[in-house]
Amino acid sequence: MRLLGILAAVCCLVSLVACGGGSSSTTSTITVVGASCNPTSIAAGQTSQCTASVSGTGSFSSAVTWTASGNGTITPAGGLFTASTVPFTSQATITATSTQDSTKTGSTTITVATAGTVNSVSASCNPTTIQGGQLTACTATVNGSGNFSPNVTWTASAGTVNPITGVYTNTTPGTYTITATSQQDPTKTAPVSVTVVNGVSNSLPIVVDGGPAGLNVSYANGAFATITVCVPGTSTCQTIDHVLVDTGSVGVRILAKAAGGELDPALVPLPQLTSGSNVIAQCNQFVDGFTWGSVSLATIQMAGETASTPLNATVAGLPIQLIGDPTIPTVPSSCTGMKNESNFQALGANGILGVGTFQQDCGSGCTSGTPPNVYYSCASGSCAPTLLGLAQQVTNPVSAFTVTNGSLGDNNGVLVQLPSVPSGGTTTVSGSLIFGIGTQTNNALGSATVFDTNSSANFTTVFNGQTNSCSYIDSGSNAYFFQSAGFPGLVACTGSISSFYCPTSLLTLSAQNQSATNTNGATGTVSFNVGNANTLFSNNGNANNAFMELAGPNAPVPNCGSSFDWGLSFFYGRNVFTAIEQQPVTGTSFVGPFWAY
Amino acid sequence: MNRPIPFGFPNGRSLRLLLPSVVLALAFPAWASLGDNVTSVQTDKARMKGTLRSVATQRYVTHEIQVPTGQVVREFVSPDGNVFGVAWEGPFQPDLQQVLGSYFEPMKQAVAAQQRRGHGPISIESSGFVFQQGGHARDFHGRAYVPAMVPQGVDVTEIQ
Repeated sequence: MRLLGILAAVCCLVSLVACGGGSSSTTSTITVVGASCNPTSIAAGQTSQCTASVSGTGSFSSAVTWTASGNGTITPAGGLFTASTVPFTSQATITATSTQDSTKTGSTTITVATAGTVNSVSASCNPTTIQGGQLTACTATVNGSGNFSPNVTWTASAGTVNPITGVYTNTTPGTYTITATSQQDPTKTAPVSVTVVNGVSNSLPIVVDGGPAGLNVSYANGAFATITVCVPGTSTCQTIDHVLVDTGSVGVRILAKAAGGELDPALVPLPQLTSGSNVIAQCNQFVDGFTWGSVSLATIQMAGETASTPLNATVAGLPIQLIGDPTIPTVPSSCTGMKNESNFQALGANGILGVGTFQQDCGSGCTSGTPPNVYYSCASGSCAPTLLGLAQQVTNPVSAFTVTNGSLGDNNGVLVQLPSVPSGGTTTVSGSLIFGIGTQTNNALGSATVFDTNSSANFTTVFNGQTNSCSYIDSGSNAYFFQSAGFPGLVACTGSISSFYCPTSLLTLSAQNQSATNTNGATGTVSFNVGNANTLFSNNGNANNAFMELAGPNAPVPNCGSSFDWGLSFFYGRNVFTAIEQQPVTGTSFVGPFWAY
Repeated sequence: MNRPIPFGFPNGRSLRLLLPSVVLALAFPAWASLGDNVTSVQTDKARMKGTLRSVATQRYVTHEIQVPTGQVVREFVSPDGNVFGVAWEGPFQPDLQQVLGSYFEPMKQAVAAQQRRGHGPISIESSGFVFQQGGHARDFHGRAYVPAMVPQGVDVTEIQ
């Protein structure tokens, strides 16, 4: 070794430039670096002093640089380790690296304990009963003292649970145990029992087919369903076909046999809603007319769903309107409108299935103040406007679906699915009315854009530079209805079809929809075509009933521009969701009222 | 009983009409129907039990009635005193027979004659009148006017 030093000195004599400072530093080597810390076990926030032992040859440097991997920090020069807060007891690796030779290192470990203690874990899942394929959200609370870890890991006896979030699902009926286990102290666990039942059938077929047999003029762009109407609390029921699916109104309205409909009081004697000895009747306003009939009580069955007594109601049954009920007085003079639609030909259907965004058809406008000409109290052959409480009003059947206690019901809205229609129209289209939003595997929002509505159930549509802030999506309107806003060629038809547009050639148009609130600020552009209604109706020997290109004009609205009414033309080739007010969509931040597509 | 009410419009309605105008305010007002002459309005006094604001522009006067159940009805009166247009909006339809007056029956017949093939907004332009109504449950709006009675220079889009 001495020889090396001499050689180095000689080298310096030969080349002074290369030798730098100390005369002997280039001859030293590091052989071993050792590290130790005291104490070797500390809690969060405590410190441990680490020291290094460096062995080598020659005039080696004993200096080291300290590093720590995880669970704390260490001063690079001084070796003072400070433990950070950890979720559960773990180890930190401390490394000393020779500053002279970074390939020489020494390591040790320090045990870092949590500063607290876990005493117990509690957990729950909501809902505790799900239909096969539905989701339930499980949450846990860890109880302890000091700086304990709040984290748990989820496991399930069968099915699928997210170990971090606790969201559970299973397709096989049965009862299962979902367990939350403390990450800090695995001896502390909390089991939750979740029952999986067979799913309620929530898909009702719908058809666009020209309407019920016997119409003088076939219905265009009407989506119809078949529903079952029962006397509450009995199995006395009648099935009614060709009930119009209407996302623009609220409540079930069935045309009585006496008015040309199917519902026969001899077969299904529905009780009437009464107030004392008075019968409650209704003048229900539609945009093109009104229906007059009693408020009757029924149970409505659709697919596997049952709509019955609303929350807070004191009498059994869902309030519906029995249009043309022959047992009540005739239409009072204050019930006016452009057309009395309380008959088969004017209604064009055997009933209306109103599944819009409201829970009741009238709401607070009928509960206090001056009674509007909507609900009537009838006695001695005459009827007068009356106020009516929310629980007595004609109610959205979806919001009144019977829900198994503790389970996720399909009562927060509907999804209308209709396939695309060939240009020029077609005779018949089949689709589905699916109950619930995000409640089963067939009604997830997926990639649909959610558009909030305002308190009047409107959002905004911009067309040809005109902002229409009283716009809406309505399966019960049989076309797009909007102001032309000066768009070239978008002219109304003449004569008996003046409520439709008759451009000389097919127009390809575009409009932008906007959420009514700033809550989510959603926007979306819709491309659509408008054809000549006269031509569309006469195509195929007048046999077509479904038209994607049917549109018509609309009136100006103060402070709104106008309404853009996205009627059934819009629904073809789309999944369109209508969410009921105040109803959340599980697993999302969305709460009705909204539309999504 | 006439008593003044504060200047201005609730809910920001019709501010556009307010600017170049004279405002007359009455409670429990007189009312006229489409096609009537305002000299006859006393006959229908107080039927709507609402609040009336009358706003004059250069070409016509607008009478706006706020009905207690939430509807707003406007009548547009020409300088010669004729109601040439009416418009309405709100959570319910107004009594259309009252609003449309002698035009109610002809308009009903025109609606009945429509090959509507379903439900939705109505738009009728006959030689004698225009009738339009749109909206949905809890939100209706509409208007009607008589083109021959509209004063020269008035844009019919102002009838709303």
